[in-house]
Amino acid sequence: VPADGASDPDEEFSLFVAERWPTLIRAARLIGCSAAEAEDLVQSTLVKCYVSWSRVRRADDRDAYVYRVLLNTHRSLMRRMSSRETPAELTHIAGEDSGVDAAELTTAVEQALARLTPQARHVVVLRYYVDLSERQAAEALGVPAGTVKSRLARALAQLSEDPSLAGLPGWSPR
Amino acid sequence: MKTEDDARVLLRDAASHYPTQPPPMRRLFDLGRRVKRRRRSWLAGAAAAVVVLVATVGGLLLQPSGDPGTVGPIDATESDPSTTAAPTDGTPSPQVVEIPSMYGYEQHEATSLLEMLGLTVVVSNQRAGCDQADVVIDQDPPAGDEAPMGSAVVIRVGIPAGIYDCAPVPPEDRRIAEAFAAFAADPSLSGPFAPSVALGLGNEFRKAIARSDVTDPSQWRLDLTGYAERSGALAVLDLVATHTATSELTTDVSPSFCPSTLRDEPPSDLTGGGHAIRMKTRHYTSCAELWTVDLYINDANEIVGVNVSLGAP
Repeated sequence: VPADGASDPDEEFSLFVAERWPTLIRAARLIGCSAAEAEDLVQSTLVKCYVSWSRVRRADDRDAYVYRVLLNTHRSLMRRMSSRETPAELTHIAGEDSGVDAAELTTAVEQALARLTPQARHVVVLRYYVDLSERQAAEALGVPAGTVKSRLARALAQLSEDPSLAGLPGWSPR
Repeated sequence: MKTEDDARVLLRDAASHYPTQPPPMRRLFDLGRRVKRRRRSWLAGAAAAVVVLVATVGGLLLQPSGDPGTVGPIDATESDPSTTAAPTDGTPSPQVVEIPSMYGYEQHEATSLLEMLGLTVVVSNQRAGCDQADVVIDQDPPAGDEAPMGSAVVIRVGIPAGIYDCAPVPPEDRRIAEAFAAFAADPSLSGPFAPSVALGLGNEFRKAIARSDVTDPSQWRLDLTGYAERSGALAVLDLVATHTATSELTTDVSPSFCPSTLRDEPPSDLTGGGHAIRMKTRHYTSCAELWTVDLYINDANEIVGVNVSLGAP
């Protein structure tokens, strides 16, 4: 992978960001951030990673490391924002281009994820969207792999019964 | 009970509808370097403090301790968070590359990044406005597509049309533009509006908003039914609320002046001349599709027209 082969740290960081940016932004959206919050969160995460890029480089698994930074930063962000008014959400401006179905889908998924506990939401996003392995997710979350498994099982059961998702194609009851 | 694969399909499908912008590389580097400098500054300050204390106490060896102040420890670096060597399931394989969005990058940045990804870059030029000169305004394949390493990516780079007024937006006009953006973010605020505001998208979709309705967000919508393949309404205030900066000024606009620098005619009630400020929006849904918002301001510094443009300039 070019990111691993590059020798210049700035170049390596640029490449890493170029490759991961869309997934990081979308993962941030799925864990509950608005568009603006997601951008701020990912930017803060990557600045922290840039400052400590030598540690990121030394990490056996950069993605697990970066998502751990992202989740820690998100917790800090939420703590800071807990006493403030939540800004108006500007979701689905783009949905107009994708049709009503896209807006309905993202709304249903956001609602279902919002009903999960934060811990369950994080593990669902890391495993099912970012596609981290169980071990990577465990590293990113700072919990044992067994905890990842049990949280996933409970979350999947809850999502299977979630009323928001019931009418979606491919998610109807079997 | 749904399967893990069901969940993967669901989340990926939903997430694919979230628009993403190009990573702000320069901002990341700027911020990162600033943090590094502040860290070095703190270290230098701490070292100096040690020297002073040592001198004061007369040889006692003291060491700095406590919180470094403005720059705290990195959340995930307090302990080395990862020891696994497992491969990242979701990263692109070495043979296939996910095309990043190059919109807004300067040509050399886009070329460098794409070449680092193992892609071949083909540059074509297209006339554009001041704020899009020398930056990528379109690309093919679009962002998000996967392409084999070595395949070609065409980037269209804006070249100055040569007839724009590229001067900075004057403070007074900038104030109006910023007030308008603030109004878009919170329509309950009153804005610096003229008795009526004309709203338009291109030359086909226009409507006038009466002063009494100006603070009603529902009035700031254009029905785009019949506009190409689009349907439904466009929420102009939502679009404006995503703006980053006023970016371009065209002066001496009047109803009789229909310059090629503007895609659309200014509103007819722009009597006596005025200015058009093109607000650069952060929101776009693909590289081939971008929105701009023009504010038409008369000599009394009132907004008399808002024009939303879709597509490449």
